[in-house]
Order: sequence, then structure tokens, then C-alpha cells
Amino acid sequence: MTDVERDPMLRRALEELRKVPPPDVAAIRRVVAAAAAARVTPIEGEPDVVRVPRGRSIRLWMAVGIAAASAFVGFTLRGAWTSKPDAVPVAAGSSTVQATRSTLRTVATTELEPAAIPHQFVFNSSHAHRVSVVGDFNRWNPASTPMTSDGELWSVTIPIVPGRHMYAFMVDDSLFTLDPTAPKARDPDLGADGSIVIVGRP
Amino acid sequence: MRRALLVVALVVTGHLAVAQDPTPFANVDRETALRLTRIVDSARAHGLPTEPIVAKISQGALFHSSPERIVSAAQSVATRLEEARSALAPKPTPADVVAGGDALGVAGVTKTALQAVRATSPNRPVVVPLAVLAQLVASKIPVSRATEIVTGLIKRGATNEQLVALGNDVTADIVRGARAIASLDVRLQGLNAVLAPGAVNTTTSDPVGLTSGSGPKKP
Repeated sequence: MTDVERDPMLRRALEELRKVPPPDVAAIRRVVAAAAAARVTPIEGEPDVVRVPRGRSIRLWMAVGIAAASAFVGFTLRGAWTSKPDAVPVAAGSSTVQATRSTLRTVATTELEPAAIPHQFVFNSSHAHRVSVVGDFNRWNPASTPMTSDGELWSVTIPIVPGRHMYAFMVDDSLFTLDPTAPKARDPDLGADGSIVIVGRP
Repeated sequence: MRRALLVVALVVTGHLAVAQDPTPFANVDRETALRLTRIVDSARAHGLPTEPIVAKISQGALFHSSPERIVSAAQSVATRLEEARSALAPKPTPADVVAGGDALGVAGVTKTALQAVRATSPNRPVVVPLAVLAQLVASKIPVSRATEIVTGLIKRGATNEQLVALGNDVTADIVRGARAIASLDVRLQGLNAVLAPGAVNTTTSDPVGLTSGSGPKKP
């Protein structure tokens, strides 16, 4: 038994204290008025971002979010969400091939350990409308390394891992052209000629 | 206005995302695709780098090679990678194996040549030496001579940059019409002067001054 239960005086005192006093409307009005008067006004020169209506800010964030979601869907649909060297250039529609794509990723990221070295490719043509460089370093993908032109010379600089690489230029999406300034070699397996470059690090 | 910009941004973003597809797809039949997949899977299961195989498949597809030829090419690359790994034992890096496989694809380069390079540089990556060796042999330098040159330069402390310069200079000379042997002699004279001043007989009948000089001197 507690002291409160034993002592009737204490019990009565507690009951009185627990009663909620009636609301003082006048006091509430005074407090609200005082708060309104003391409200901080915007500082002169304060950045506009503080005054931007909340609704506009939300729309911008929504746009960014939707754009990111759109990009994610685009990458995912084409299986290109992971890094470029991971796709397997074989026929579509094969579940086995799809499985191989995922398993190749781990290997491809670790097998070429040497740090890539920037290398510039230059191609001289004033007639070409579109030129790209294809080679073993970009899986012979014409869309991977487009070159830019200053009107006559086409060029691109890309990082390449050290080693001996075969490449060619693809002109206007259809014509393969070797680099006239580089040695050429015949591919031992496919029989096609290619230009050769040796890339190395000091 | 803002809505219009938003729509345009969404369309462009989605288009760019889709345009990232890096695959030059081959129009090979399902059976060929499965055969290629098996080759890649097998190489991976044996711990071989698969990137050169995939690149070869992609190259064949781009060149419109026949499915049979693409399969054969992929298998050949896998075989060379296996041979290269064996020649570069005991602990070749994946990049070493790739370089060795590429070198073995050059007519004349042998496993013995790869082993000689590895023996000269047992604890360092041999990507660049193998690349230069392959290019020298591809430039009609006899493999025995090319191996002597590369291993000799390694022993004398030549840097990868110097090796690459030699390979590229010789091939550039050949493109300009020089004979491979003549270019090699001239280029080696310059390199020998840097590595060991006053040493060496640069004729193609001798190694690159392997026994001369007092040791490597780097610039």
C-alpha cells in the first residue's frame, strides 16, 4: 500500500490537482497575437529558393525522378544497365544466352587488369558523313566509339588497355577502312585484315 | 511550357537509354548461339578470360562471317588462351593470358617463345613484351630473333614504353616502305644507345647486346 492510499489528505490533494482547469479563451488569444507579432519576416536579399512555392519545387523533383525512372526502364529493357563490355553478341531470344550475359559480367570486369591508356585514332576523310573506330577494345561495336570531325580529320581518343590491338574504321555505317598510317595484319580466324596498334604504359 | 519540356526530357532520356545497346547483334540461328555460348561457358569454367572470345564472336558478326566460321574462330581463340596460360605458368594474370593468346594467333609465334619471355620476366606482367613480340613476328622478323630481342631488352631493363616504341617504330617504318630487318637494326641502335651506351652489335645476327654493358641504365 502506498502513502497516497494510506493518507486521505494526500488523496484529496491529488484529486484536486488532476482536475483540468477550464480554457481561458482570452489568454489563448493573447498568446496567438503575441506569436503573430513576433513572427520572423524574410530577410532582405534572402535567396529566392526560400520563397519558391512548395508546389513548384515538388514538380521539379518529380521530373527528375520520372526521368531517372525512364532511363532505368530504358537500360533494363535493352539489357544495357551494366557496363558495355558485358553484352554477348549472339542471337536474341535464347535463354541460355541471357544467362551467359550475367555470368560474363563478373569475369569481364576483372580480367583486364592493366589500367587503360588514352589513345587517339585519326582518320582523314572530307567526304565521310559518319566515322567510327571498331576493334577488339570495343568489341567491334560501330556504335561504341564514334569519331568527330573538324571538316577533314576525324578523331577520337579513348582509353585502351595495354597490348596489341586490331582495329578498323567504319565509314558511313557500311565501309570498313584500314588505317593507312598503321601496320595491318590478317585476322588468323576470320581472314579479314585489320590495322594494328600497340598500346603500352611506361 | 514546363509540361512540354518535361515530356521532351522524358522522351530524350528514354531514347538515350535505349540507344546504349552495345551489341552488334549477329543474325545467327539458335543452334549457333548455343554453340557459342557453350564455348564461352567452357572457357569461363576453366578460368580463362572470356573477353577475347566474345570480341571475336562480335567481330565475326560485324564482318558477316558464316556461323560456322564464327564458331570455329571462337573455339580457336579459346584454344589459344588455354595454350597461352599453360606457356605462361605458373601464375599468369588474365591480361597476360589474353596477350599470349593474341601472340599465338600470329603465324610463327610459338609456346616456346612465350615461355622464353615468361622465364625472363617471371614475376612481372608480360602483356607489353608479348605484344611487341607478336608485332615483330607479324612484321616478318623471325620468331627466334624477335624473342631474342624482346628477352634481351627485358634483361637490360628496357621499360614497357621503350618496348612499345620499338614495336611501333618498326611497324611504322615498314608502313613507310622500309624492310623489317633494316628498320629493326636502326631502331635497336637507338635503343641500345639509351640502355647501354657504347655497347653492342646491332646486326640482326646477334642478340641485343645481352652480354655487353655494365647493366641497365634507364634514361
